[in-house]
Amino acid sequence: MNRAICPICNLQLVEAAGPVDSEVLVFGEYPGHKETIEGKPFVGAAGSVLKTELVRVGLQLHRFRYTNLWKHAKPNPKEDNYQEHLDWHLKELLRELKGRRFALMMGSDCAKVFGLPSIMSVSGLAVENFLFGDTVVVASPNPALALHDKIGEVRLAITRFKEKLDEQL
Amino acid sequence: MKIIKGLPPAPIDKETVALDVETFGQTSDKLHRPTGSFACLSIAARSYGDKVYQIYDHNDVKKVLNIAKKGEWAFHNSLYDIRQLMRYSKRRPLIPIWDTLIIDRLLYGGLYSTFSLGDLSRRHLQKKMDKDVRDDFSSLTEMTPGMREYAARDVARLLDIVDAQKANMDDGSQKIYDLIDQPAIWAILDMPPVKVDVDAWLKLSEKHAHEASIIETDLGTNVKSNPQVLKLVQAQTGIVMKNTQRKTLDSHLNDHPVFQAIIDGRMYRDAVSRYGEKWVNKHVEDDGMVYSNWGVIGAATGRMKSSDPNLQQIPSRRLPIFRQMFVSKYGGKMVIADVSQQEPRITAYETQDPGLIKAIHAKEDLHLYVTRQIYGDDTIKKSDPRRSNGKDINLGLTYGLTPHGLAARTDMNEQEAEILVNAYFQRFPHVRQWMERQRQIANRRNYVTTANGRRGWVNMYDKHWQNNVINMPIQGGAADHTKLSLVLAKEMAKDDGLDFDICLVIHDELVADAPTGTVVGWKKIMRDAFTEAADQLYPDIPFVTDVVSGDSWGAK
Repeated sequence: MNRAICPICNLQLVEAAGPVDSEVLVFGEYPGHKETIEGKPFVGAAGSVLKTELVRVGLQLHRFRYTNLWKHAKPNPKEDNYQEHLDWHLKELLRELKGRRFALMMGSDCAKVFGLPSIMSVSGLAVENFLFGDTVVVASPNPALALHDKIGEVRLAITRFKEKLDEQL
Repeated sequence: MKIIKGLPPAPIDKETVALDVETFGQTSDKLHRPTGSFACLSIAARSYGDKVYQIYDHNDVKKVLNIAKKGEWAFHNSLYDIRQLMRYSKRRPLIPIWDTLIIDRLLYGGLYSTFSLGDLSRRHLQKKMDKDVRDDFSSLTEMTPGMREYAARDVARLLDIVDAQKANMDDGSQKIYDLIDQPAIWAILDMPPVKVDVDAWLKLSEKHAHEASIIETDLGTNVKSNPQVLKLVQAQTGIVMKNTQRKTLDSHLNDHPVFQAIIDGRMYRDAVSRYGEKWVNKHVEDDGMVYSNWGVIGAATGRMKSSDPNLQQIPSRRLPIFRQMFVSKYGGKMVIADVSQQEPRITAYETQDPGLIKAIHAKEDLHLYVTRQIYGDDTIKKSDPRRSNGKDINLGLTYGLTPHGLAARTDMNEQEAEILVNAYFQRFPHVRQWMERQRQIANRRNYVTTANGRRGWVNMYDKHWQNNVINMPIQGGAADHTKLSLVLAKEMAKDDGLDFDICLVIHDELVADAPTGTVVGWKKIMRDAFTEAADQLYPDIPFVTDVVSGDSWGAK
């Protein structure tokens, strides 16, 4: 299968997946090794944590639209065209976000891009940024956190996300 | 929220009164010391409605505490607040305390890594707390409107968090809090500093620097440099090592003396960098004392913590000589009490294995008993090298030791190790059943508990989770035992008219700085405290306490 190419660096992209018309977007930071090889988001170890924790609260990832802020491995921030690079990927993400009612935003890189102090200081909370428009966005650490630290923050964020959905859907 | 400057009204009887002290000019590594100057005390209670009272004059602290004495005081990290309050009001409050930091660690130990007030606000109340103003307290000396607002909001949130925690409190956590962790707050507040023989410490450090220098000169190598060590080893032995990690060096110990020299050289260099003059300058105060920051809970297992400096990390095996530098400030003796085979006894209680219980009641050396059982040889003596294998299995299985792991730390091959591990489970079948039960419990509810109800949450995504659910009740149970012993020792010392002089808590060990004439009394107190604590927590399992005394902590 031919995969789309990043116009800035020519790397192959890991495109968004899931139903285009879903009211919910789940997005992380960038694809890992396995995602990059398979060309699908959240098929690696962190994705497995995410799926399991979603199921735990009665949600299924495949019912949502899901993607990453970066559609390929994260480039070096010291690169000359890093900002231009980020702008393109951010625009792609915002295009995915537009018109959706809810989003689960995961990882510290996302928090940074949207001007939040740190992901852990807002984990489990609905966060605001003018770029989100009317979308209710709940922040969570990267699910990979559970692979090398505690599970609590990821679980709490996903539980809160589910509560937001229940409140309004 | 309305901020009222002045003394609060009396709370309703037994009502929760949230208290929060703010201090000017403190540094983060000295929060446990009476440093800085009083900024304000904020007080909130449900009966005050949306009003938060604040006082800015430390002379009013005593009045506030007197007014609030009918309530249940709530703090976030009571050790900090009470230490500060006691600077201005010497009278020790004898009322129940609700410490949101300790309670949350009890409820969610192992589930979360951090437990700041901001974390609790976010988790319990779904409210973010901005901490931007906090840094102003270290740089300013007068309260600004922003700082008043910040302090008032903190104490109001604290009150809300107490309500949320009370709604989630379970019987096991409440029991542990009432019996062990809350009384431990008062014990820690009374723990004295420990004296260090600074001159001897500095001489020791010089000696270590000298030893390292001799070894390095002899080898012609910087022992801390990986490339240099790899080159040296290849030149002297022809061996090409992949790395210079301790494990790798150990595996070549029989090949050439250079490996032992490298290990020794590194040991001395590490000692100089970790426990050299810098350590003394940073941690020994002008009175020659070290004031460690002790904490009620420092790990998911419930173990106490020590920091700034961490006295629980003073070496006991490699370079135990450092313990000889901790001496009596009275010119008396250091009394050291530790529990013999604490974790295997708790394993026996948890598993109710008849074989282990029988051995304990027969007052046998547990490790020797297990060794005889797994080798099927009753003639094995304590000096037999096989006892070491029995000890490894006895202690290691509750840490997830596998035949592979056992083979790696002994001279057995994996097949021999597997035979021994299987023999252990055959002789002590209740241990295996209990281990399996723990895993089932963890699978069902995501946490396990100590025998007395302390929770330890499990992360099923952690590749070690199956070991963690076995280890937590044992290590956590040991923490419960040692901490309750500390609490009881404090009560017993008071009954005997002695000052509370336990200055170190190191896992299964308590150390008292005993003035001349009190050594016998302290030995009895510490032995009785460990025994009484075990009777309360692990009835019908006899615990043995070894108590020694000497001129230093190194006497043991």
